[in-house]
Amino acid sequence: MSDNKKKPDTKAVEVKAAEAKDVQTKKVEEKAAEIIQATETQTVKPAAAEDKEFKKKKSTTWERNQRKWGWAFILPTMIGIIVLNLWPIVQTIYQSFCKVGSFGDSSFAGFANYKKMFADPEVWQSLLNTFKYAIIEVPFSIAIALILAVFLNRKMHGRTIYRAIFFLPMVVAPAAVAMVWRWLYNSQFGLLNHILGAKIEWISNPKIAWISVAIIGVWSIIGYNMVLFLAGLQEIPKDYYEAADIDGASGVRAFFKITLPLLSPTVFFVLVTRVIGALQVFDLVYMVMDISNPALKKTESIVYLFYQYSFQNGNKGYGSAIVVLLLAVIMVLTVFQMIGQKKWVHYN
Amino acid sequence: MKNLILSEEEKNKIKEMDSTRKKMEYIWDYYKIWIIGAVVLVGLIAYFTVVLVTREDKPVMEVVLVNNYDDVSEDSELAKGFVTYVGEENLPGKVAFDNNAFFNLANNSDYKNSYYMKVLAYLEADTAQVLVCQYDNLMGIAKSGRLIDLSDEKVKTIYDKYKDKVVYYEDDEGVKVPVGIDISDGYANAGLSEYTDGKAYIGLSAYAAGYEYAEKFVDYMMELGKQK
Amino acid sequence: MTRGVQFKRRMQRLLIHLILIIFSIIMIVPFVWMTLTAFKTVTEATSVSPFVIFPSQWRTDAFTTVWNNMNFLVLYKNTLLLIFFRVVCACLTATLAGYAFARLKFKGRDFMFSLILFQMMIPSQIFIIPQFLMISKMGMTNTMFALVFPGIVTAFGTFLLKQAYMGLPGDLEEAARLDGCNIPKTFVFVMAPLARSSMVALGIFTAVFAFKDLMWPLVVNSSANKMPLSAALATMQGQYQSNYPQLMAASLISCIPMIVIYLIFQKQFVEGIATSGGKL
Repeated sequence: MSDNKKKPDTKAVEVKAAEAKDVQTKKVEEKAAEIIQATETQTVKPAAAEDKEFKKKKSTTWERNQRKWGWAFILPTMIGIIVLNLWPIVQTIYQSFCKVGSFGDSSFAGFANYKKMFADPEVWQSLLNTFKYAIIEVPFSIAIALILAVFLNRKMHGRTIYRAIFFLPMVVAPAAVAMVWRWLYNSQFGLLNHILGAKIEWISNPKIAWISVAIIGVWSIIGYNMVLFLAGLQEIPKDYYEAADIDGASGVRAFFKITLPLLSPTVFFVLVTRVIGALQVFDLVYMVMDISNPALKKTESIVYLFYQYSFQNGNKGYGSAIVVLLLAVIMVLTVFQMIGQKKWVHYN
Repeated sequence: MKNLILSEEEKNKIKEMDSTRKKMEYIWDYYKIWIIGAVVLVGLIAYFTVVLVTREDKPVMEVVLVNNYDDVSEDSELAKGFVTYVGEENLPGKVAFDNNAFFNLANNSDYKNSYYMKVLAYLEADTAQVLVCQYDNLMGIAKSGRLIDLSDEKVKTIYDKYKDKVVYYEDDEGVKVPVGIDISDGYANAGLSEYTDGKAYIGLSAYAAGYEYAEKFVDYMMELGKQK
Repeated sequence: MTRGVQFKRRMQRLLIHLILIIFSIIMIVPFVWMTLTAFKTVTEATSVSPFVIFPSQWRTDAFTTVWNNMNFLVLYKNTLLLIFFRVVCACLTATLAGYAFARLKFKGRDFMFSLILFQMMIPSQIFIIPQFLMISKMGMTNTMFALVFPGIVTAFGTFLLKQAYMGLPGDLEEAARLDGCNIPKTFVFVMAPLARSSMVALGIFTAVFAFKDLMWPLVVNSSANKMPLSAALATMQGQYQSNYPQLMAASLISCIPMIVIYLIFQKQFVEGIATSGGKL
């Protein structure tokens, strides 16, 4: 930075911070230490008591400003969310108490939809199916993506190519994905049965169809999780590894001692969003399961059922009640995760 | 608010600089994020205003044709024919035809088809008031509850006129509801290529604010049907 | 001894490559299938017994037909504009809100954040018709604004950025604040640059979702010159039912820009621990 652009003193911190913005966190921390030192030597010559008072004064204006700026910062997002999403949600909840019959008429029906729903075995079966799906998809997709991300974060040959390949499932045409998986799973001519030399009915046997669907789920979601983990790994200061002084053999230990705890905010995010995403599974079921498939009842998800009632059978009230049930289930699970995070997620 | 970005001190500092170029450079160096932000904001507002001012008026009626591959633009035979039939002076706005919708609800998997969703959205939002399609699709959309029951008060005049052409949807409890009108003859005569079975039907949205022009369209189709 | 360590390292590297290659094969199959299908005839592409893996002859007519029939320039332009606006809007609103939720204390914050989470819990299918109603009431159908509309804010991104800010060390912020930096300055110059990689991830996601989103563009934009690629592909699929070679050729042409964009942006994921001697 040249002299003629020199900033007034109040900007000193900002200049340093701006310089620091492109460097790794380690450097940033050094700067921070410098800045703290600088402030202390410059402004805080008097006794320690005054120093405290000074800090307090600063922090009270800061506190006051937090409210103003906090609301200003979240305002665009909140307006958007309320207009775009919360209003439709309120309508849905209202509809769940209505009998929205066919042909445009609707009338208030109290808890009728809920009563019907709690007695409907199909709803509970689909909820169970959804859970079974999530139990496979969430842990496997997270574990595999985490390992891949850690591998692909090191300097190595062909890293860009690997990263590109793992990204491909995200942009490939859904029609191609469906065709390939149908071919892999085909019980007569499929590749899987050809390799295994077996005659397994991957998607029409009710006992294993849900696993087959969940495998596609894992496959299609690995890339997403990997990108998130790669981003999270960048925010781990590298000197933690140097300080730990690890030899080549204890890479696994370093992973559990350093990487995992420091990555835990990202892992937590992926976990929460994946649980929500897995419980909302819909496209996959439509993609591989035909209506005539005998295993459909054992694989149809709760959103699939909601879609059927709301958009196919003209029973919006009942469909809305199913959405509210799903919402309640996800809410309970998310609250548990929010409470549980205190045990294992490390924030700085 | 004036201290928010530029303090007095800062202003003096800028004033003291000897050349405009230096001032500009200084401001750009330290405030480029704010400047870019402001420009983007102003740009967005300007764009929004332009779009809002130059937007086209909502058509007085819109017809969605499913699985139709003909030209249905403003200059097509169908559109021109209908406008002439009603008389341009009786139309306060445009009439729109949209045939960008392809699905066959005889296949259950097509309920997930995005075009099916589009048609539902158009019917529910009162964007489209009239639906022209084949029998299976008519029944499928009737099943979803987005088509008006033709015996309803609002469309009684249409129902009374064309009672003999009405087709019924039978729900799970066996109740028969009139939902569509057979316009097979008119459809062919309107210059549209026939569906494979030669049959075409009209359904009306259950959410439309008015059915005045929809009724005229049905009349027009019937009129065309009589011609041969 | 050093030789032993070196050997061990080499074996480790080999093992890692082996694992990565196995996964690569699993991940790349549909893409390869897509490419192969684009060169087949229609009968080859849809034949089930037996499945035809390689085309008997490498035909390029699917590519030429698609290229001549679809106006890729307009489609690319619409798609890229859509992606650009969605990414800018999402990153901007999410980084602001994420910072406030993670680092600022104010009344009502936790309640507001729970609304964000609440939005994520609802299946997205229920939003399409109400949002279309809004666009339709505004009379904004068939505009770029309509395409961008549902992506102006993002609950997912807000949550992602909140987590990123929560993981950042707090002492730098403290230093800035003691030196008289106000909140927006601290945010813009100190904190936002540190959460850059999460913002890149959000950008990639937003771009992919915008690129793949089919339902919304189909619903709001029906005129051919306002459509993005995804909707045009669906229209093509609707018009020439099950002409798989053409469909795959079009998909292939359309996803190439996405891969290029990703390859440019993933370069952001290279700092941090990767430069620390590559232990892990």
